[in-house]
Amino acid sequence: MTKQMNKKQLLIGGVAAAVLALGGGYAMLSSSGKKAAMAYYEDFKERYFLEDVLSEGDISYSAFSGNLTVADPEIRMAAAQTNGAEQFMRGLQGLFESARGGSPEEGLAGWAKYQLNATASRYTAGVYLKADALKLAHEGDSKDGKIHIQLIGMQMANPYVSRKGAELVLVSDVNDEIQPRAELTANGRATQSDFAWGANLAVRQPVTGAFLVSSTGAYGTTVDLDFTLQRSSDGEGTMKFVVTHRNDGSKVGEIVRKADFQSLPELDDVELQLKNALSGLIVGAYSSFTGQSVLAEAVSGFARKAKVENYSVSYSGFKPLKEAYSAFQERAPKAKFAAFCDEVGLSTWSSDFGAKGKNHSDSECAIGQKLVEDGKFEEAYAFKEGKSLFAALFVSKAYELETN
Amino acid sequence: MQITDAAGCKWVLSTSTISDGDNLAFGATPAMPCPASGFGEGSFEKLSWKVPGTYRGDNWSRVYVHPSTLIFNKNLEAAVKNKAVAYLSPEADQAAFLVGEIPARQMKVYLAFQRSNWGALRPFSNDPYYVAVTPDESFALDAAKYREAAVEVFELIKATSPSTTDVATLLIAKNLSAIAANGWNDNAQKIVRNRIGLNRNSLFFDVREGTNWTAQREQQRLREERQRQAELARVHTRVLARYEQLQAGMGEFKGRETEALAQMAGITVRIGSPLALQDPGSSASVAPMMVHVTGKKGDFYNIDFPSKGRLVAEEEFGEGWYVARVANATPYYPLEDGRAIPTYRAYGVGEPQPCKQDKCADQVSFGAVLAREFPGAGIDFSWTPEVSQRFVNDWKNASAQVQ
Repeated sequence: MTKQMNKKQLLIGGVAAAVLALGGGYAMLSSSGKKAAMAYYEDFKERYFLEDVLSEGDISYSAFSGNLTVADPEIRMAAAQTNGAEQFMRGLQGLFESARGGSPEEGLAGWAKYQLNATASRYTAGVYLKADALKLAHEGDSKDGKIHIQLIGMQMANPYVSRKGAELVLVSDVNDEIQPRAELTANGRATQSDFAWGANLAVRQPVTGAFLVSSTGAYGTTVDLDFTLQRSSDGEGTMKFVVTHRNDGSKVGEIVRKADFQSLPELDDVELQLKNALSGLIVGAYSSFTGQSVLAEAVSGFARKAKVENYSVSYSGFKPLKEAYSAFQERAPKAKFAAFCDEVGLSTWSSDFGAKGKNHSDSECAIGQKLVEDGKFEEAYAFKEGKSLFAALFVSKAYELETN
Repeated sequence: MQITDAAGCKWVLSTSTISDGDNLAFGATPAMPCPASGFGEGSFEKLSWKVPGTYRGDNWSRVYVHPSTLIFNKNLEAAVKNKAVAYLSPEADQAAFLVGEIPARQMKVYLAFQRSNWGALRPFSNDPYYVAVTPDESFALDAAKYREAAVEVFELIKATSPSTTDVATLLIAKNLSAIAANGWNDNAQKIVRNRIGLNRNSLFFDVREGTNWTAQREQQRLREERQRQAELARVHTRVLARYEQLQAGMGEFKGRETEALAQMAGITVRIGSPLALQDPGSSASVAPMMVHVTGKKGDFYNIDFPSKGRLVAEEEFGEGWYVARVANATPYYPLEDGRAIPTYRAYGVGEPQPCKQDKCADQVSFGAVLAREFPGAGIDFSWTPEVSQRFVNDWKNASAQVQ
């Protein structure tokens, strides 16, 4: 993979990250009953090492929709014991050490680095995920089937978490202890606290539009993730991933990613790639460089096997960003949009500068600018027939891009 | 050490020759007529003292005992008789007698006598030298004034002590104690030392001779002044270069110059990104921030600069601009409409003082920025480029003069 890496485009990131954001999952062969659904759910938890860290409310099954619904899923895990599987982690690190030879700033590795930088601050403290419901539905089998996963009402609060021993600590847990006191301490500081605060992996994923929350400070936002992956027996398939941001119940904005596949690996295989990608992020909690290698490896593995017809991304809504920009403009009327990005922390990393055309970028900052100016950001890729996604992206450019 | 002899006369002798319990035998020719004071005084053909049974003792011929008990050779009687001792060194080897004053120069003029302080003290036998004391040393920097002062001093001596006009050392100092310890003491008290007196009835004096401490100090001061000047010129050349650089950078901040300056002076004028504000790790440090308070609502003061937000404070803030020392408290207060509001806790000493101008323009200046970057260059708030230019020019002019 490293050989062909160049500055060409990395749309692949979008596809794969969409998948990994949810942690993925697929239907077991005979998945028509509650028992099978439950078995799948147990398997899902086991695969992603969630057994010890996921706390759940009621689990219900609807025969009509085929949905298994887990109410109030909550994950608390400190990076010290991510998934309680340190051994596993070390093994993975060793496995991918060899990939270090690649030039890390380029291509896929650059994208992987961006993904990890977005989630990690000084260091990753752990994962705190809380949502209203997790819904899993699946039908068919690995060759001809459909996966539908929804995470409803994921809270975007708590971008920073800390830990005490192996326990995850939220700001609200220790509010009184860490907030600035009325009097300064003897050494002139506002508070005396030895917690080290780091990123919460769950709410920093760029693919969920976390940067749109972080740039407006709308930490009351909840996000609905709705992911569907479908494959027919001839190998063709479709993917749809909808991210909806809500504030106090009303819809703020929406990110839609869609792909049509000429040829999709069997769902079993996709699932394996997803697991590797997730591992990449978790390994990144320990060593961002190794995590980067793992993530890039997983994604390229998927890209080599998939052939994509077309892929599109669209962001729409997100009016609070426009409001934030207006407020910024009042203070600094002559500043450029880049200055706003700088102020609110929108990244200017673009997956490609060269191949996308002069005036197009898919950086957070560029997406933000389009949203402010046009209320939407759109990208649509059409791929030439017959080439793998990897070849189309990295070997020779074999796609056309339309943007708004 | 003061001793009373058999005739009831008191004597002062060096402690180094007499031990406690020694019996002393004194002799005087003619006999010592102790006056009312009890101290020996007057002219004697011969004075002797001896510790019986030892070799310790001495005898002196033709001496004059001054009422202070200091003993002089007979030929010095005229010079010290009827004059008071103005100064006696701790070792009793230096004595000064006031001969007169020159009020216009705030100057007192003395005759100073010196003897060896090794072993037993003997009568003063050397011719005196001349001492003048004045707080004003400026005359020493100008040859003509120096000569004028020296001659004036000598004229006074000639008039009041006609027996002591030979060429002798003239020491002019700021304090009489400068004559102690044979001049091994601090030169800081001394002004000039030279020789003056009548030689074959004409005045001998040469301003170019001798030692001129005041002139040395002045030269040293000038040297240091030049070094300081050179150093200042060097620093201020850099200050001016930095100023040019800052000015060039200001283009970007058109209309927001005050903010840019405040920022450079270490005053926060823009807040972190909303994500950064959520980091509890950022809330321990306290730093000055420029805020515009627009009112009070509940427990919070509302601010609209550096951004819309809130201030929590124990002190009372009126509406207006402030430079307040604050810590980030954003993560600890509830969201408003699902949005985090930048919130700061202010720490003050006493009642907060509002700025006098919008955006605290009265509290920021190029001077404030440069003073921070060049501590010790003597830059203050009201600095202008002319201030630094003056330092550079001063040095240029000074160098030109030297060449």
